[in-house]
Amino acid sequence: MFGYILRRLLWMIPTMFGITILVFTAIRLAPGDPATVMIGISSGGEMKGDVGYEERIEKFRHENGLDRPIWIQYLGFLGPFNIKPDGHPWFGGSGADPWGGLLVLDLGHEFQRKTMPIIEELGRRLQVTIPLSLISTLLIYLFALPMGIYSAVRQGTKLDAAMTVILFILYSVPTFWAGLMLILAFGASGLHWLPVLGLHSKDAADLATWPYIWDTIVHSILPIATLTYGGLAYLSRQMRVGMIEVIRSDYIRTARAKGLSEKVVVMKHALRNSLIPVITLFASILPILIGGSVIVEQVFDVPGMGRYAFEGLIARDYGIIMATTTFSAFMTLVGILLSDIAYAMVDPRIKYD
Amino acid sequence: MTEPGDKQADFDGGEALSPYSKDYWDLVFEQLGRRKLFKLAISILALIYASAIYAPLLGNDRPYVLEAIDYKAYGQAQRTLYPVALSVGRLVRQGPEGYEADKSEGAEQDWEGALQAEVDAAENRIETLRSYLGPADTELLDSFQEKLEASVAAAGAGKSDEATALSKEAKEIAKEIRTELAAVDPENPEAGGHELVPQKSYPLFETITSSEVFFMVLWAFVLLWPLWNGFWNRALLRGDRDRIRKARRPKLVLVVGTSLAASLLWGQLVGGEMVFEVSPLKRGLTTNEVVATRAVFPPFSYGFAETSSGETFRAPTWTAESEIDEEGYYVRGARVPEPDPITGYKPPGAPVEVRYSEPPRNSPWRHPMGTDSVGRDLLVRMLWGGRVSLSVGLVSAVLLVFIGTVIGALAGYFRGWVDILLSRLIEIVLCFPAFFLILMVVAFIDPNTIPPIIAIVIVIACVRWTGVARLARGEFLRLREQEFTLAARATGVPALRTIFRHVLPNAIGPILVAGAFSVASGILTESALSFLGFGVKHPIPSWGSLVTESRSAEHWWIQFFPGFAIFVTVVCYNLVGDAIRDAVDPKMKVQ
Repeated sequence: MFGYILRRLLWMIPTMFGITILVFTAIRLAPGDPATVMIGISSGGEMKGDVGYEERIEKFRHENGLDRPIWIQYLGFLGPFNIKPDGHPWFGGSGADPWGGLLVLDLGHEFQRKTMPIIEELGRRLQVTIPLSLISTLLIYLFALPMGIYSAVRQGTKLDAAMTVILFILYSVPTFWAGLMLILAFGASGLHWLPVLGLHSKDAADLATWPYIWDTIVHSILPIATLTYGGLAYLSRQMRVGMIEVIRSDYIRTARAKGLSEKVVVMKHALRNSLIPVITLFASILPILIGGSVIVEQVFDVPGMGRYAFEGLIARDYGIIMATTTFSAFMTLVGILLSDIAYAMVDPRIKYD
Repeated sequence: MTEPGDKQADFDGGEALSPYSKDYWDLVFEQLGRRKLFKLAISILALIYASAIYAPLLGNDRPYVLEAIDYKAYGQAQRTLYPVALSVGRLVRQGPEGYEADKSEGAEQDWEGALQAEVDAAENRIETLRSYLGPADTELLDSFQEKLEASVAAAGAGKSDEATALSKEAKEIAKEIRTELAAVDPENPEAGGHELVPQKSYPLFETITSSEVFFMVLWAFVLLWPLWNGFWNRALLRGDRDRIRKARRPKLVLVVGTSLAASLLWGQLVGGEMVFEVSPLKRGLTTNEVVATRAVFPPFSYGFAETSSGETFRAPTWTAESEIDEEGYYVRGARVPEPDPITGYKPPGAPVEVRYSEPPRNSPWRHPMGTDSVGRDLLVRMLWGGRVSLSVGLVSAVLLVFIGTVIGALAGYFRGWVDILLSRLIEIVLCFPAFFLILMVVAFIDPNTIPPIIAIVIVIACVRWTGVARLARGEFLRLREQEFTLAARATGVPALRTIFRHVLPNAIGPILVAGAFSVASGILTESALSFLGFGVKHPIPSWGSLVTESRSAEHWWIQFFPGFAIFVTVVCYNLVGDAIRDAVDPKMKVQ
């Protein structure tokens, strides 16, 4: 088991390598120049034809190493050498800051705020996104499993039918629309129960600990609901289908025939087997949450990683895009690994060697 | 697995009706036919697609038929004959050399071309005048045309003096035309002038392209399918199952062939072109520059880009808060203007302009789904927007099913290193958060080189094919070991033919199911991208981009209706996918 995990971890290295190369070339080959975007911002919207426009663009490119061949730039992203003008002497730098890149966990600085290390900002954004995603994942499993089981055990009843229909409908609701409708329903224009924008009130910094926590909780109800409902619907549908299939199998009939109570049959015999496919779904729920967070954070104005990625895209900030993409891909790989490990733990038939 | 006919066959010697064994598709359709929800979903989808395909016929600012006198066009043609004669005169005086020396830089026409352009313009105008004037009073026009042509001919032959003289005469006639052929002023008929003859035209149909005609005819077949299919099966084939089965392909050929023929015919006869203009015809009708004796407008007579300055963000007109008084003030709700408490000053209202063919100011049918930031009708924009959203979903699904099937088939059929390589590829693509990758690529694509919609379709297909590929791979791994594949290989059928003619038809069921679900996810993805601002270019609408018109909770209709359309479509596709999945399941119940 341990060897298996180690081997899987080692396998992740070439995969990550492939992913970063793919993303890196894709965004470099794509049109749109961060230099023009940045110069446009810093000069207050002045346009082409200004005095010194070309020089400023050249300077910006040189400072950020964008005038290098693309493979050198990739090496700069990967590390461990910093290839920018202040970087390692081997790459023509001054040697002030010789190391950099992904291998030393340095993802560079933002183009716009030159002193802001991307990894620091990413960490700050993740402090928002990771709790939201984790709570949402937890809620998905917490509600989906009992709902699926109940629905399967009471198959054919009216409650089962109603739940199936509701989950089916939830499964088809576009995320952004769900968010907007929740805002309409619970925000100031509707019931006025919950705040709808941001993660804190304006004066949250002055609040005491408990009111502050309460403020955060109230603010995150709607974003979490929007993140959760889709996965919840998907997972409990899967759970129901899996459970129904297991309940029909022979060994369950045997268990019932030998007089075990229904509770033991369902909770002990049936549940264990029907959990297996649901656990593997963990790997596919995680990327959905990450992708969904872009929209949810945009709708609810939450300063998380999805929004960071979005801002990076708008500003053509290669550093931010690479950082967020790499991180999401990494999380997806981790999700796949975790679900494989969990698979091995619930299913003793699976042997990894 | 027997038909009622069987018993009868036993009775009279077993020759009248042969027992019919149902094939795979018979069973699938039978299963689907039993599901009420499937039927409902497929009918709703057919209607949603119909609303998108027939959008130009349902919501348009051009009338189907128009019998009208365009006083503005007439007056313009009448007045501008003189300038035409003038510039012809200048051209013939200059001659080719003088024109070359004089012409402004970058002008591409040569002398003959310039002359021809003027002649064409004159012809155009004379055509307009003639058509409105009817049979009478064409003497002046005739002689004008004669002189102009003679002048051009003389200039072409090098007789420049003669040409100049002729062009002068033409100028004189043009002046005469200006005074003599004036039309009756519709507001002041006593002043005299020529009575004009209304012209019949079909302004809406002139904008329909032949590809649109293809889909319109095709969809007419689809909508009427129960009728003609039932007639064909019962009356022509007398319910004979074998003949019905054989008729499947001819039916398909007939439907597609007729649509194609209609589209080609349309291209030849009408050759309609999609035009983008902000309702000049309707404006003319409203200001009485165009006077119609007959005008038949579509049910919702707004263009998808037609703005209305007095009705920005107007709530659906059947709601109470949407009522507007004559001066353009809201009567109820939050938008009633409050006069300044001290000065008593009330901001000036913008009166609603009710244009020709539009419902009255406060009719519930005026804007049943409200308007957006510049007063465009949301319902009409949704009709047109469906075209983008629905076609993105469908085309991307077709593309990704194709990519996924080919890759999965190759991996599953050949196994070995092909499989290892392709499986690695699938794994790598799977590791991307798909939506994030799509967003990234679309954000970076330059909208001027590739239209964003095409980019979205391609990117969705390139990122989401992995699911279908894994499915196809599994199916092929299973099927390649079965006897029929072995038989095909043993008889020396080439590998590609085995894959596509023998194995693929047996694997098509699950792939179809995945296809139905990917249409739904394609629509969702497109709408999310449009919502984030990476979709169609303005002013073309799509359901997702309509939602972004306003994020304010006050404008609930803008957020509700387009999203609801997406939601209904996706629910229907998921229902259809579910039903097909159950129907093609090999474990399905066969009685």
